[in-house]
Amino acid sequence: MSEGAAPVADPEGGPEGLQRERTVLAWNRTGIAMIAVGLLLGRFAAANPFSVLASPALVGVGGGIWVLWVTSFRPGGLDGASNRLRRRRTTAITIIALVLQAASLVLVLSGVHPPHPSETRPDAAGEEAG
Amino acid sequence: MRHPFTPPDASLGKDPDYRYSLANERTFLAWIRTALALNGGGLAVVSLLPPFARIGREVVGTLLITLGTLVAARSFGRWRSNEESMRTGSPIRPSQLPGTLALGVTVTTVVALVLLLLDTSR
Repeated sequence: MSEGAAPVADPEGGPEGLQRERTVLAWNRTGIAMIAVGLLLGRFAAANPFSVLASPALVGVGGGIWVLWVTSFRPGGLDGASNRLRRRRTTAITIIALVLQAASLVLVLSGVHPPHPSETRPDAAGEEAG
Repeated sequence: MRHPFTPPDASLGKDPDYRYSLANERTFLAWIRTALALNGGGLAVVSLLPPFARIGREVVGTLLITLGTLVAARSFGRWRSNEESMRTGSPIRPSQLPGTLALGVTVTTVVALVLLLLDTSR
């Protein structure tokens, strides 16, 4: 049996080690998920005027989260101020997600949907008629 | 009564170990991403699937988005409850979120199956 490797020094130097880096990555993934939902919402843009505004707003919020969290990452310990900021971020992302869910629900229930590709294909009507 | 989005009381107990606090935050973010995925799934069903069973797309899409709303709303309470438990050193309460999600996905799947069967039998 080989000897175990020597313990690696904490690359961040802080008490929380790589935990904070993983948390920043989790925030990034959440921002990317929000951008993806924003792009999907964009499919409704032609059919529903609401999503003309909602889709870019959402992509902007997602991109904003991504950029903010990447640039705000600082190696080192967490102090009282950064803990307060973390609590506010958590509240903010929940409210944004709930607003998004409500907007999506309104869009779906409004009954004005983008047409399915098979409904807009010019030869589809011809095939049915023939 | 507290506002539903009131952050955990910072004056309660003492600051928890950062590692656990950050792990709690990551778990919360994973739930938020789950809610966003459910929302995206609901929007995709409505905008990308061909119409079926008259209002099949709308029913399945609404169920998925409603489930996403529930998950997003409850994940914040869960994060706050965990944070406060860690501050006071009390045991973390069992989560109802996985059960809610499993039940919601099961109901949505059964409804989608029934609607598909109705559509093909017509």
